[in-house]
Amino acid sequence: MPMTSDDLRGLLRDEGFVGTPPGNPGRAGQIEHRIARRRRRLRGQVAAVAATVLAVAGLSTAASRGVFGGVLDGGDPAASGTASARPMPTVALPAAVPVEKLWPQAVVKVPARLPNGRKYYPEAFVGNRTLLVTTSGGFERTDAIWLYDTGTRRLSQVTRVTTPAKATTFASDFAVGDGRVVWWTARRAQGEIIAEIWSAPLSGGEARKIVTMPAGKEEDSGIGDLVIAGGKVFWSLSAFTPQARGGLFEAPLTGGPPTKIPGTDRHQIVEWPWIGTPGRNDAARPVTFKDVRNVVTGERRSAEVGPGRWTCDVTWCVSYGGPDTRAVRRDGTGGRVLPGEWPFPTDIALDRFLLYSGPRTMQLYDLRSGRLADLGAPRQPRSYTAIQPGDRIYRMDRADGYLIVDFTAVR
Amino acid sequence: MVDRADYYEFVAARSDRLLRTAFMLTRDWAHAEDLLQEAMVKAWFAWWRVSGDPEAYVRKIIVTTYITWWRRRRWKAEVPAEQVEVGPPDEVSPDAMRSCDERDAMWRALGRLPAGQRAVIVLRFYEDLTETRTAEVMGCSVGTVKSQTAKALAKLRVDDSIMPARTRKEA
Repeated sequence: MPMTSDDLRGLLRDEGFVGTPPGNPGRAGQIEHRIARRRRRLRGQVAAVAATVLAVAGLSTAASRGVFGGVLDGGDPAASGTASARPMPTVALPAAVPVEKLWPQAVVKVPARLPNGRKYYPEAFVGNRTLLVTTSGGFERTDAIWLYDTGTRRLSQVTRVTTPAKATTFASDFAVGDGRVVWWTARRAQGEIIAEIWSAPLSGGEARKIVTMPAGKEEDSGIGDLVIAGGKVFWSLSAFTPQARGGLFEAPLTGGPPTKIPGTDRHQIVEWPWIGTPGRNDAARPVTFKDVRNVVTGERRSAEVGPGRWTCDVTWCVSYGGPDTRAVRRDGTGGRVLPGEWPFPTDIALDRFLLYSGPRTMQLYDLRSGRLADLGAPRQPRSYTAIQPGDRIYRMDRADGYLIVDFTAVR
Repeated sequence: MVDRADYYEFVAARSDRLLRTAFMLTRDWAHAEDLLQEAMVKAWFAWWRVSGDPEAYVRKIIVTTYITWWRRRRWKAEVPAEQVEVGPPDEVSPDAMRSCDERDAMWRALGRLPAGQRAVIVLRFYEDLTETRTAEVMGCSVGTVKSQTAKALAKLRVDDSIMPARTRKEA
Protein backbone atom coordinates (compact mmCIF):
# COMPACT_ATOMS: atom_id res chain seq x y z
CA MET A 1 0.00 0.00 0.00
CA PRO A 2 1.38 3.40 -0.91
CA MET A 3 2.24 5.89 1.80
CA THR A 4 0.23 8.99 2.39
CA SER A 5 1.64 12.47 2.19
CA ASP A 6 1.47 12.64 5.97
CA ASP A 7 3.47 9.43 6.18
CA LEU A 8 6.04 11.06 3.97
CA ARG A 9 6.04 14.19 6.10
CA GLY A 10 6.53 12.15 9.23
CA LEU A 11 9.28 10.10 7.69
CA LEU A 12 11.25 13.06 6.39
CA ARG A 13 10.93 14.93 9.66
CA ASP A 14 11.93 11.94 11.71
CA GLU A 15 15.26 12.62 13.45
CA GLY A 16 16.62 9.34 12.23
CA PHE A 17 15.96 10.06 8.60
CA VAL A 18 18.52 12.78 8.15
CA GLY A 19 20.73 11.79 11.03
CA THR A 20 23.21 14.02 12.75
CA PRO A 21 25.69 16.26 11.02
CA PRO A 22 29.26 15.15 11.52
CA GLY A 23 29.85 17.81 14.13
CA ASN A 24 33.12 16.47 15.38
CA PRO A 25 36.07 18.68 16.12
CA GLY A 26 37.48 17.93 12.74
CA ARG A 27 34.62 19.42 10.92
CA ALA A 28 35.96 22.90 10.59
CA GLY A 29 39.13 21.52 9.20
CA GLN A 30 37.30 19.40 6.71
CA ILE A 31 35.39 22.40 5.59
CA GLU A 32 38.48 24.43 5.06
CA HIS A 33 39.84 21.54 3.12
CA ARG A 34 36.93 21.78 0.78
CA ILE A 35 37.53 25.43 0.56
CA ALA A 36 41.00 24.85 -0.70
CA ARG A 37 39.66 22.60 -3.38
CA ARG A 38 36.98 25.00 -4.27
CA ARG A 39 39.42 27.82 -4.46
CA ARG A 40 41.39 25.82 -6.91
CA ARG A 41 38.65 24.42 -8.94
CA LEU A 42 36.53 27.51 -8.99
CA ARG A 43 39.26 30.04 -9.01
CA GLY A 44 38.31 32.92 -11.18
CA GLN A 45 34.73 32.03 -10.71
CA VAL A 46 32.39 34.16 -8.90
CA ALA A 47 33.24 35.44 -5.87
CA ALA A 48 30.41 34.81 -3.77
CA VAL A 49 32.07 31.47 -3.83
CA ALA A 50 35.30 32.99 -2.70
CA ALA A 51 33.41 34.87 -0.07
CA THR A 52 32.21 31.55 1.11
CA VAL A 53 35.75 30.52 1.30
CA LEU A 54 36.37 33.13 3.86
CA ALA A 55 33.20 32.61 5.71
CA VAL A 56 33.34 28.95 6.12
CA ALA A 57 35.39 28.36 9.15
CA GLY A 58 33.50 30.82 11.26
CA LEU A 59 30.19 29.50 10.17
CA SER A 60 31.14 25.92 10.48
CA THR A 61 32.03 26.62 14.03
CA ALA A 62 28.69 28.23 14.43
CA ALA A 63 26.93 25.31 12.89
CA SER A 64 28.67 22.70 14.92
CA ARG A 65 28.82 24.50 18.24
CA GLY A 66 25.93 26.86 17.86
CA VAL A 67 28.07 29.92 18.19
CA PHE A 68 30.92 31.66 16.50
CA GLY A 69 34.45 30.99 17.58
CA GLY A 70 35.95 31.96 20.87
CA VAL A 71 36.24 35.63 20.16
CA LEU A 72 32.55 35.97 19.83
CA ASP A 73 31.94 33.32 22.38
CA GLY A 74 32.84 35.82 24.98
CA GLY A 75 36.33 34.48 25.17
CA ASP A 76 38.00 37.30 27.01
CA PRO A 77 41.49 37.84 25.70
CA ALA A 78 42.46 39.46 28.98
CA ALA A 79 41.73 36.24 30.81
CA SER A 80 44.13 34.04 28.97
CA GLY A 81 47.33 35.33 30.42
CA THR A 82 49.13 35.08 27.13
CA ALA A 83 51.22 37.83 25.71
CA SER A 84 48.59 38.73 23.19
CA ALA A 85 46.00 38.94 25.95
CA ARG A 86 47.26 42.38 26.75
CA PRO A 87 44.62 44.92 25.89
CA MET A 88 44.86 45.72 22.24
CA PRO A 89 44.27 49.20 20.96
CA THR A 90 41.77 49.66 18.22
CA VAL A 91 43.70 51.25 15.42
CA ALA A 92 42.27 54.05 13.38
CA LEU A 93 42.44 52.91 9.82
CA PRO A 94 43.87 55.50 7.48
CA ALA A 95 41.80 56.64 4.55
CA ALA A 96 42.02 54.04 1.82
CA VAL A 97 44.18 55.17 -1.08
CA PRO A 98 43.66 53.70 -4.55
CA VAL A 99 46.18 50.92 -4.83
CA GLU A 100 47.50 52.29 -8.13
CA LYS A 101 48.56 55.45 -6.31
CA LEU A 102 49.73 53.84 -3.10
CA TRP A 103 51.86 51.11 -4.65
CA PRO A 104 52.24 52.09 -8.33
CA GLN A 105 55.26 49.87 -8.83
CA ALA A 106 53.28 46.83 -7.69
CA VAL A 107 50.13 47.23 -9.74
CA VAL A 108 49.33 46.09 -13.25
CA LYS A 109 46.02 46.59 -14.97
CA VAL A 110 45.13 44.39 -17.90
CA PRO A 111 42.04 43.85 -20.04
CA ALA A 112 39.65 41.07 -19.16
CA ARG A 113 40.52 39.20 -22.35
CA LEU A 114 43.79 38.17 -23.94
CA PRO A 115 44.89 39.54 -27.31
CA ASN A 116 43.49 36.33 -28.82
CA GLY A 117 40.08 37.19 -27.39
CA ARG A 118 40.02 34.48 -24.75
CA LYS A 119 39.13 34.88 -21.13
CA TYR A 120 41.94 34.03 -18.79
CA TYR A 121 43.08 33.88 -15.21
CA PRO A 122 46.31 35.50 -13.97
CA GLU A 123 48.36 33.00 -11.98
CA ALA A 124 51.75 34.52 -11.25
CA PHE A 125 54.30 37.10 -12.29
CA VAL A 126 57.26 35.86 -14.27
CA GLY A 127 59.53 38.87 -14.20
CA ASN A 128 58.38 42.43 -13.75
CA ARG A 129 55.56 42.81 -16.18
CA THR A 130 55.04 39.35 -17.60
CA LEU A 131 52.18 37.29 -16.27
CA LEU A 132 51.72 33.57 -16.32
CA VAL A 133 48.07 33.09 -17.18
CA THR A 134 45.80 30.14 -17.81
CA THR A 135 42.83 29.70 -20.09
CA SER A 136 40.00 27.27 -19.62
CA GLY A 137 38.39 24.98 -22.12
CA GLY A 138 35.30 24.64 -19.99
CA PHE A 139 34.03 25.14 -16.52
CA GLU A 140 37.06 25.12 -14.21
CA ARG A 141 39.12 23.15 -16.71
CA THR A 142 42.45 24.69 -17.63
CA ASP A 143 43.46 23.91 -21.20
CA ALA A 144 46.60 26.00 -21.70
CA ILE A 145 49.24 28.08 -19.95
CA TRP A 146 50.49 31.31 -21.49
CA LEU A 147 53.00 34.07 -20.89
CA TYR A 148 51.42 37.47 -21.28
CA ASP A 149 53.67 40.51 -21.52
CA THR A 150 51.48 43.19 -20.01
CA GLY A 151 53.67 45.94 -21.46
CA THR A 152 53.73 44.90 -25.09
CA ARG A 153 50.54 42.79 -24.84
CA ARG A 154 52.44 39.98 -26.49
CA LEU A 155 51.15 36.48 -25.81
CA SER A 156 52.97 33.18 -26.14
CA GLN A 157 51.80 29.72 -25.26
CA VAL A 158 53.85 27.85 -22.67
CA THR A 159 52.11 24.52 -22.97
CA ARG A 160 48.82 22.78 -23.32
CA VAL A 161 47.25 21.27 -20.22
CA THR A 162 45.47 17.98 -20.36
CA THR A 163 42.97 16.77 -17.81
CA PRO A 164 43.33 13.13 -16.80
CA ALA A 165 40.39 10.77 -17.12
CA LYS A 166 38.34 10.48 -13.93
CA ALA A 167 39.82 13.75 -12.70
CA THR A 168 38.73 14.82 -9.25
CA THR A 169 40.72 18.06 -9.27
CA PHE A 170 41.62 19.90 -12.43
CA ALA A 171 44.97 21.61 -12.93
CA SER A 172 45.61 23.70 -9.81
CA ASP A 173 48.20 25.75 -7.93
CA PHE A 174 50.43 26.91 -10.75
CA ALA A 175 53.87 27.74 -9.36
CA VAL A 176 56.89 29.09 -11.19
CA GLY A 177 60.62 28.89 -10.55
CA ASP A 178 63.86 27.73 -12.08
CA GLY A 179 62.52 28.46 -15.56
CA ARG A 180 59.61 26.10 -15.19
CA VAL A 181 55.97 26.04 -14.23
CA VAL A 182 54.46 23.23 -12.18
CA TRP A 183 50.90 22.36 -11.28
CA TRP A 184 48.97 19.33 -10.12
CA THR A 185 45.90 17.34 -10.94
CA ALA A 186 44.13 14.49 -9.16
CA ARG A 187 42.17 11.53 -10.41
CA ARG A 188 40.35 8.61 -8.91
CA ALA A 189 41.78 5.14 -9.40
CA GLN A 190 40.65 2.02 -7.55
CA GLY A 191 39.17 3.91 -4.66
CA GLU A 192 42.20 6.14 -4.18
CA ILE A 193 42.82 9.69 -5.23
CA ILE A 194 46.06 9.85 -7.18
CA ALA A 195 47.75 13.24 -7.27
CA GLU A 196 50.04 14.04 -10.16
CA ILE A 197 52.45 16.93 -10.50
CA TRP A 198 53.21 18.27 -13.96
CA SER A 199 55.99 20.48 -15.23
CA ALA A 200 56.66 22.48 -18.38
CA PRO A 201 59.46 24.85 -19.39
CA LEU A 202 58.49 28.53 -19.37
CA SER A 203 60.31 28.84 -22.68
CA GLY A 204 57.61 26.62 -24.14
CA GLY A 205 57.32 22.91 -24.58
CA GLU A 206 55.34 19.87 -23.70
CA ALA A 207 54.06 19.26 -20.20
CA ARG A 208 55.53 16.28 -18.44
CA LYS A 209 54.27 14.38 -15.43
CA ILE A 210 57.02 14.45 -12.81
CA VAL A 211 55.37 12.98 -9.70
CA THR A 212 52.59 10.49 -9.07
CA MET A 213 51.48 9.65 -5.56
CA PRO A 214 48.37 8.54 -3.66
CA ALA A 215 46.86 11.48 -1.78
CA GLY A 216 43.96 9.96 0.14
CA LYS A 217 40.55 8.51 -0.43
CA GLU A 218 38.29 11.55 -0.19
CA GLU A 219 36.90 13.10 -3.33
CA ASP A 220 38.83 16.31 -2.71
CA SER A 221 42.08 14.77 -1.55
CA GLY A 222 45.07 16.25 -3.24
CA ILE A 223 48.00 18.54 -2.84
CA GLY A 224 47.78 21.45 -0.44
CA ASP A 225 50.54 23.65 -1.74
CA LEU A 226 53.28 23.51 -4.28
CA VAL A 227 56.54 25.44 -4.64
CA ILE A 228 59.69 25.25 -6.71
CA ALA A 229 62.98 25.84 -4.93
CA GLY A 230 66.56 24.86 -5.68
CA GLY A 231 65.82 22.52 -8.54
CA LYS A 232 63.18 20.68 -6.57
CA VAL A 233 59.46 20.76 -6.17
CA PHE A 234 58.06 20.72 -2.63
CA TRP A 235 54.49 20.09 -1.61
CA SER A 236 52.24 18.98 1.20
CA LEU A 237 48.95 17.12 1.13
CA SER A 238 45.73 19.06 1.28
CA ALA A 239 44.30 17.02 4.12
CA PHE A 240 45.35 14.39 6.52
CA THR A 241 43.80 12.07 9.03
CA PRO A 242 45.20 10.12 11.93
CA GLN A 243 45.96 7.40 9.44
CA ALA A 244 47.48 9.65 6.82
CA ARG A 245 49.55 12.27 8.51
CA GLY A 246 50.48 14.23 5.47
CA GLY A 247 53.85 15.89 5.63
CA LEU A 248 56.21 17.76 3.39
CA PHE A 249 57.36 15.97 0.26
CA GLU A 250 59.97 16.74 -2.33
CA ALA A 251 61.04 15.50 -5.74
CA PRO A 252 63.54 16.66 -8.33
CA LEU A 253 62.08 19.12 -10.78
CA THR A 254 63.23 16.77 -13.49
CA GLY A 255 60.98 14.08 -12.09
CA GLY A 256 61.37 11.19 -9.73
CA PRO A 257 59.83 9.42 -6.78
CA PRO A 258 58.48 11.62 -3.98
CA THR A 259 60.45 11.72 -0.75
CA LYS A 260 58.89 12.66 2.55
CA ILE A 261 61.02 15.01 4.62
CA PRO A 262 61.42 13.45 8.09
CA GLY A 263 59.67 15.08 11.01
CA THR A 264 57.13 16.94 8.92
CA ASP A 265 53.97 15.02 9.82
CA ARG A 266 50.90 17.23 9.69
CA HIS A 267 52.87 20.18 8.33
CA GLN A 268 51.95 22.35 5.42
CA ILE A 269 53.81 25.11 3.63
CA VAL A 270 53.24 28.55 5.13
CA GLU A 271 55.62 30.79 3.19
CA TRP A 272 58.51 28.90 1.70
CA PRO A 273 60.88 27.88 3.31
CA TRP A 274 58.63 28.02 6.37
CA ILE A 275 56.31 25.14 7.09
CA GLY A 276 53.82 24.96 9.92
CA THR A 277 51.40 22.93 11.96
CA PRO A 278 48.54 22.51 12.60
CA GLY A 279 47.77 23.07 8.97
CA ARG A 280 44.85 24.70 7.32
CA ASN A 281 42.98 21.43 7.26
CA ASP A 282 44.03 20.01 10.57
CA ALA A 283 41.26 19.14 12.94
CA ALA A 284 43.44 19.85 15.93
CA ARG A 285 43.76 23.55 15.58
CA PRO A 286 42.15 26.62 16.89
CA VAL A 287 45.35 28.34 15.75
CA THR A 288 46.38 27.55 12.20
CA PHE A 289 50.16 27.37 11.88
CA LYS A 290 50.69 27.92 15.59
CA ASP A 291 54.13 26.37 15.22
CA VAL A 292 56.34 27.08 12.24
CA ARG A 293 59.82 26.10 11.29
CA ASN A 294 62.23 27.06 8.59
CA VAL A 295 63.27 23.96 6.66
CA VAL A 296 66.48 25.63 5.49
CA THR A 297 67.78 27.11 8.76
CA GLY A 298 65.90 24.93 11.24
CA GLU A 299 64.61 27.99 13.13
CA ARG A 300 61.39 27.35 15.02
CA ARG A 301 58.73 29.79 16.19
CA SER A 302 55.53 29.38 18.14
CA ALA A 303 52.59 31.72 18.59
CA GLU A 304 51.22 33.08 21.84
CA VAL A 305 47.76 34.20 21.01
CA GLY A 306 44.62 34.56 23.07
CA PRO A 307 41.53 32.40 22.90
CA GLY A 308 39.45 32.15 19.80
CA ARG A 309 40.35 31.12 16.31
CA TRP A 310 43.48 32.45 14.72
CA THR A 311 45.45 31.96 11.59
CA CYS A 312 49.15 32.71 11.60
CA ASP A 313 51.81 33.40 9.04
CA VAL A 314 55.55 33.47 9.75
CA THR A 315 55.37 36.59 11.93
CA TRP A 316 51.76 37.67 12.22
CA CYS A 317 48.57 36.09 13.51
CA VAL A 318 45.04 37.25 12.82
CA SER A 319 41.89 36.31 14.71
CA TYR A 320 38.67 35.53 12.96
CA GLY A 321 35.19 34.36 13.64
CA GLY A 322 34.25 37.31 15.80
CA PRO A 323 32.80 40.73 15.26
CA ASP A 324 36.23 42.27 14.93
CA THR A 325 39.60 41.25 13.59
CA ARG A 326 42.66 41.23 15.81
CA ALA A 327 46.20 41.09 14.60
CA VAL A 328 49.25 40.38 16.71
CA ARG A 329 52.78 39.17 16.16
CA ARG A 330 53.66 35.66 17.27
CA ASP A 331 55.59 37.03 20.21
CA GLY A 332 52.58 39.00 21.39
CA THR A 333 53.77 42.41 20.25
CA GLY A 334 52.14 44.80 17.84
CA GLY A 335 48.63 43.74 18.84
CA ARG A 336 45.79 45.74 17.42
CA VAL A 337 42.09 45.53 16.84
CA LEU A 338 41.11 46.36 13.31
CA PRO A 339 37.87 48.24 13.18
CA GLY A 340 34.92 47.07 11.16
CA GLU A 341 33.04 43.84 11.04
CA TRP A 342 34.71 41.07 9.20
CA PRO A 343 33.47 37.83 10.65
CA PHE A 344 35.16 35.60 8.15
CA PRO A 345 38.53 34.03 8.64
CA THR A 346 41.18 35.57 6.50
CA ASP A 347 44.65 34.42 5.71
CA ILE A 348 47.64 36.70 5.60
CA ALA A 349 49.46 37.02 2.30
CA LEU A 350 53.22 37.29 2.34
CA ASP A 351 53.09 37.75 6.10
CA ARG A 352 51.73 41.28 5.82
CA PHE A 353 48.60 41.76 3.71
CA LEU A 354 45.03 41.26 4.85
CA LEU A 355 41.95 41.44 2.71
CA TYR A 356 39.49 43.96 3.98
CA SER A 357 36.01 44.98 2.98
CA GLY A 358 35.21 48.61 2.44
CA PRO A 359 31.71 49.97 2.04
CA ARG A 360 31.59 49.07 -1.63
CA THR A 361 35.11 48.15 -2.50
CA MET A 362 37.70 45.65 -1.42
CA GLN A 363 40.83 46.79 0.32
CA LEU A 364 44.22 45.48 1.34
CA TYR A 365 45.53 46.28 4.78
CA ASP A 366 49.30 46.26 5.16
CA LEU A 367 50.19 45.04 8.64
CA ARG A 368 53.74 46.29 8.23
CA SER A 369 52.98 49.91 7.31
CA GLY A 370 49.42 50.23 8.57
CA ARG A 371 48.38 51.51 5.15
CA LEU A 372 45.09 50.71 3.49
CA ALA A 373 44.94 50.24 -0.27
CA ASP A 374 41.68 50.45 -2.12
CA LEU A 375 41.29 47.83 -4.81
CA GLY A 376 38.11 49.22 -6.29
CA ALA A 377 34.81 47.51 -6.74
CA PRO A 378 34.63 43.94 -7.94
CA ARG A 379 32.95 43.33 -11.27
CA GLN A 380 30.33 41.34 -9.49
CA PRO A 381 29.18 42.98 -6.29
CA ARG A 382 30.17 41.29 -3.08
CA SER A 383 32.54 39.01 -4.90
CA TYR A 384 36.23 38.68 -4.59
CA THR A 385 39.06 36.22 -4.50
CA ALA A 386 40.36 35.04 -1.16
CA ILE A 387 44.02 35.21 -0.25
CA GLN A 388 46.22 32.61 1.34
CA PRO A 389 49.71 32.60 2.81
CA GLY A 390 51.65 31.50 -0.25
CA ASP A 391 50.07 34.07 -2.55
CA ARG A 392 52.43 36.38 -4.34
CA ILE A 393 49.76 38.31 -6.18
CA TYR A 394 46.22 39.47 -5.67
CA ARG A 395 43.97 39.69 -8.65
CA MET A 396 40.86 41.78 -8.62
CA ASP A 397 38.30 41.14 -11.30
CA ARG A 398 36.92 44.62 -11.98
CA ALA A 399 34.58 46.02 -14.59
CA ASP A 400 37.57 47.52 -16.39
CA GLY A 401 39.60 44.29 -16.42
CA TYR A 402 41.99 42.71 -13.96
CA LEU A 403 43.85 44.75 -11.43
CA ILE A 404 46.80 42.73 -10.23
CA VAL A 405 48.89 43.54 -7.19
CA ASP A 406 52.35 42.05 -6.99
CA PHE A 407 52.78 41.66 -3.25
CA THR A 408 56.50 41.16 -3.63
CA ALA A 409 56.86 44.59 -5.25
CA VAL A 410 55.18 46.55 -2.45
CA ARG A 411 57.80 48.61 -0.68
CA MET B 1 16.68 47.28 8.92
CA VAL B 2 17.94 44.25 10.73
CA ASP B 3 20.71 44.76 13.24
CA ARG B 4 23.98 43.15 12.24
CA ALA B 5 24.30 41.72 15.73
CA ASP B 6 21.18 39.72 14.99
CA TYR B 7 23.11 37.93 12.31
CA TYR B 8 25.23 36.10 14.82
CA GLU B 9 22.20 35.09 16.82
CA PHE B 10 20.54 33.92 13.66
CA VAL B 11 23.52 31.80 12.68
CA ALA B 12 23.67 30.29 16.13
CA ALA B 13 19.97 29.56 16.28
CA ARG B 14 19.17 28.41 12.77
CA SER B 15 22.27 26.84 11.32
CA ASP B 16 21.54 23.30 12.37
CA ARG B 17 18.06 23.30 10.94
CA LEU B 18 19.08 24.90 7.68
CA LEU B 19 22.00 22.54 7.43
CA ARG B 20 19.59 19.63 7.56
CA THR B 21 17.53 21.18 4.80
CA ALA B 22 20.66 21.57 2.72
CA PHE B 23 21.54 17.96 3.46
CA MET B 24 18.13 16.77 2.31
CA LEU B 25 18.79 18.50 -0.97
CA THR B 26 22.41 17.57 -1.49
CA ARG B 27 22.47 14.22 0.33
CA ASP B 28 26.01 14.93 1.43
CA TRP B 29 27.05 16.75 4.59
CA ALA B 30 30.05 18.33 2.98
CA HIS B 31 28.03 19.76 0.12
CA ALA B 32 25.32 20.74 2.56
CA GLU B 33 27.82 22.77 4.56
CA ASP B 34 29.12 24.41 1.42
CA LEU B 35 25.60 25.28 0.45
CA LEU B 36 24.65 26.63 3.86
CA GLN B 37 27.80 28.65 4.13
CA GLU B 38 27.37 30.20 0.74
CA ALA B 39 23.85 31.16 1.70
CA MET B 40 24.99 32.54 5.05
CA VAL B 41 27.66 34.65 3.42
CA LYS B 42 25.17 36.12 1.01
CA ALA B 43 22.89 36.79 3.94
CA TRP B 44 25.70 38.53 5.82
CA PHE B 45 26.33 40.90 2.95
CA ALA B 46 22.66 41.55 2.45
CA TRP B 47 21.71 41.63 6.12
CA TRP B 48 20.84 45.31 6.24
CA ARG B 49 18.18 44.87 3.60
CA VAL B 50 16.78 41.55 4.76
CA SER B 51 13.33 42.41 5.93
CA GLY B 52 10.94 40.00 7.50
CA ASP B 53 12.08 36.46 8.11
CA PRO B 54 15.80 35.97 7.50
CA GLU B 55 15.36 32.20 7.62
CA ALA B 56 13.09 32.38 4.61
CA TYR B 57 15.67 34.50 2.86
CA VAL B 58 18.47 32.03 3.56
CA ARG B 59 16.28 29.06 2.69
CA LYS B 60 15.53 30.61 -0.67
CA ILE B 61 19.22 31.12 -1.36
CA ILE B 62 19.91 27.52 -0.39
CA VAL B 63 17.32 26.16 -2.79
CA THR B 64 18.17 28.38 -5.73
CA THR B 65 21.90 27.85 -5.27
CA TYR B 66 21.38 24.12 -5.00
CA ILE B 67 19.46 24.02 -8.26
CA THR B 68 22.07 26.17 -9.98
CA TRP B 69 24.90 23.96 -8.76
CA TRP B 70 23.05 20.85 -9.77
CA ARG B 71 22.57 22.20 -13.27
CA ARG B 72 26.25 22.73 -13.54
CA ARG B 73 26.84 19.14 -12.39
CA ARG B 74 29.17 20.65 -9.92
CA TRP B 75 28.96 17.74 -7.60
CA LYS B 76 30.79 15.07 -9.40
CA ALA B 77 30.08 12.55 -6.72
CA GLU B 78 26.39 12.88 -7.34
CA VAL B 79 25.14 10.86 -10.24
CA PRO B 80 22.63 12.79 -12.30
CA ALA B 81 19.17 11.41 -11.84
CA GLU B 82 18.75 10.33 -15.42
CA GLN B 83 21.82 8.13 -15.21
CA VAL B 84 20.73 6.33 -12.11
CA GLU B 85 19.23 2.92 -12.38
CA VAL B 86 15.61 3.50 -13.19
CA GLY B 87 12.93 2.29 -10.87
CA PRO B 88 11.02 3.44 -7.85
CA PRO B 89 11.73 2.03 -4.43
CA ASP B 90 10.03 -1.11 -3.37
CA GLU B 91 6.63 -0.48 -1.94
CA VAL B 92 6.47 -0.86 1.80
CA SER B 93 3.76 -0.59 4.33
CA PRO B 94 3.49 2.57 6.38
CA ASP B 95 4.15 0.65 9.55
CA ALA B 96 7.35 -0.71 8.23
CA MET B 97 8.58 2.61 6.90
CA ARG B 98 10.25 3.51 10.13
CA SER B 99 12.78 0.79 9.84
CA CYS B 100 16.24 1.62 8.70
CA ASP B 101 15.89 -0.33 5.48
CA GLU B 102 12.83 1.57 4.53
CA ARG B 103 14.32 4.87 5.42
CA ASP B 104 17.17 3.91 3.18
CA ALA B 105 14.75 3.04 0.41
CA MET B 106 13.14 6.45 0.66
CA TRP B 107 16.52 8.09 0.87
CA ARG B 108 17.58 6.40 -2.34
CA ALA B 109 14.30 7.25 -3.98
CA LEU B 110 14.73 10.90 -3.07
CA GLY B 111 18.17 10.73 -4.58
CA ARG B 112 16.71 9.63 -7.89
CA LEU B 113 14.57 12.73 -8.14
CA PRO B 114 15.75 15.59 -10.33
CA ALA B 115 16.82 18.70 -8.44
CA GLY B 116 13.58 20.61 -8.83
CA GLN B 117 11.38 17.75 -7.71
CA ARG B 118 13.64 16.99 -4.77
CA ALA B 119 13.50 20.63 -3.74
CA VAL B 120 9.72 20.63 -3.92
CA ILE B 121 9.50 17.53 -1.74
CA VAL B 122 11.90 18.97 0.82
CA LEU B 123 10.10 22.29 0.98
CA ARG B 124 6.60 20.86 1.05
CA PHE B 125 7.09 17.85 3.29
CA TYR B 126 10.22 18.55 5.30
CA GLU B 127 10.00 22.30 5.69
CA ASP B 128 6.23 21.99 5.67
CA LEU B 129 5.69 25.03 3.47
CA THR B 130 2.49 25.70 1.63
CA GLU B 131 2.38 25.48 -2.14
CA THR B 132 2.38 29.26 -2.31
CA ARG B 133 5.42 29.64 -0.08
CA THR B 134 7.19 26.84 -1.93
CA ALA B 135 6.55 28.66 -5.21
CA GLU B 136 8.00 31.84 -3.72
CA VAL B 137 11.11 30.07 -2.54
CA MET B 138 11.66 28.35 -5.86
CA GLY B 139 10.76 31.36 -7.92
CA CYS B 140 8.13 29.52 -9.94
CA SER B 141 4.37 29.38 -10.20
CA VAL B 142 2.08 27.50 -7.85
CA GLY B 143 1.03 25.41 -10.85
CA THR B 144 4.62 24.31 -11.34
CA VAL B 145 4.90 23.39 -7.69
CA LYS B 146 1.74 21.29 -7.99
CA SER B 147 2.90 19.48 -11.10
CA GLN B 148 6.40 18.90 -9.75
CA THR B 149 4.97 17.63 -6.48
CA ALA B 150 2.66 15.22 -8.27
CA LYS B 151 5.48 13.85 -10.41
CA ALA B 152 7.78 13.48 -7.43
CA LEU B 153 5.18 11.78 -5.27
CA ALA B 154 4.42 9.36 -8.08
CA LYS B 155 8.08 8.43 -8.25
CA LEU B 156 8.22 8.06 -4.50
CA ARG B 157 5.05 5.97 -4.61
CA VAL B 158 3.28 8.33 -2.26
CA ASP B 159 -0.41 8.65 -2.88
CA ASP B 160 -1.33 12.22 -2.12
CA SER B 161 -4.98 11.53 -2.82
CA ILE B 162 -5.28 9.39 0.26
CA MET B 163 -4.70 12.32 2.52
CA PRO B 164 -4.24 15.59 0.68
CA ALA B 165 -1.68 17.94 2.10
CA ARG B 166 -3.20 20.18 4.67
CA THR B 167 -3.39 23.87 4.24
CA ARG B 168 -0.87 25.18 6.68
CA LYS B 169 -0.13 28.49 8.06
CA GLU B 170 2.82 30.01 6.31
CA ALA B 171 6.14 29.19 7.83
